[in-house]
Amino acid sequence: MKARQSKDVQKILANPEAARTLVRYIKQLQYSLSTKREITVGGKKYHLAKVITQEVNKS
Amino acid sequence: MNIALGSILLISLLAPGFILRLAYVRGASSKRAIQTALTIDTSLVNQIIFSAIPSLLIHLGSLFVIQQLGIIFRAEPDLYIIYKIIDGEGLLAPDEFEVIRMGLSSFALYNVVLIFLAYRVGKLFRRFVILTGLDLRNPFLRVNNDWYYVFENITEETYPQKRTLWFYMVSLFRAIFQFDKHKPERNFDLVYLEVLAKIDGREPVIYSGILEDFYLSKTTGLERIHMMAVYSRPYVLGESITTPELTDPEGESFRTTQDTDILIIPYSKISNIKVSYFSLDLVAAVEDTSKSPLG
Repeated sequence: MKARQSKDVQKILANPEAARTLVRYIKQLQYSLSTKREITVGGKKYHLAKVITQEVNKS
Repeated sequence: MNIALGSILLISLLAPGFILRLAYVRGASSKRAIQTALTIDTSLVNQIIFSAIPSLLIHLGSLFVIQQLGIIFRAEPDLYIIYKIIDGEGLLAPDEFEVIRMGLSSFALYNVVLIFLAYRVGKLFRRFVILTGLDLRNPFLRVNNDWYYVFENITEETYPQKRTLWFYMVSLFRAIFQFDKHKPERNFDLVYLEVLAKIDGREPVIYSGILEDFYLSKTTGLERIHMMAVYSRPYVLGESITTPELTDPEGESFRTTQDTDILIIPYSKISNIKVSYFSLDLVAAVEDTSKSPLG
């Protein structure tokens, strides 16, 4: 099944370099104390915010 | 009397309930539920609950309607003959055979209409349950594969804390007219994964990237995941959030999979998945886009 992606995310993912940039911003946000950040990807400024994280252990 | 006729009649009478149940659990996000619905080797209690009781309710409702429309049908169904055929005891009298012969086409039409309605009601009930989150509160109503709930972040928080009668009425309206693809409101724009994978004979690796696709499985729940813009690094035993490699994404321990657009990881190789949901809101377009996508 297709994972949920907004139209903006789909546009970013269409450009591999912009996609990797987005993931790097996400990684920075993931391990910082902040939950929000303003980022610039693919020529547009976005507000990136972490909603929630959950961990699923297979065993 | 031949019990074959009774069996055929019984199956015909149970068919609407079974179709309703199948329509309810069947869907792209319900791989495991489908298997449960189609499994032959289920207990008698399951069969009664999932097929016989809905069938009974459907037939009771239909009989009421038919009795009210008796003028059109000109005659009420002879329940004694139906009982006699199913029971399989004793012989049918010639006039009873005549009643069966006369009512055969009406009974066939009755069953076709009921099966069609049962299918529509099953689908409607499925949409209503998904929209209201009743399946989260009641495992008996669970319609989706567990992994679908995880990747779509469907939890109790997805729905209003207090579900009023108005909420249920609006949801029913949305379910009937199929607004918004009958999905609950979402508050995230992408799913970011950190997957601990163990490939045979190699050190464990953590892959992090954006979830593109996921394939559900009838047996294991999840078959495989597809990720985009993937970074990979070796797993550090006992690592925590303070591990330097984690807090420095520019560090050398990160290896980008530059030459791969989509990374496919089979579920059998996955040990652990950390799922994060991010929102991305457009603030403004930047004028100079030619310099660097990094901003």
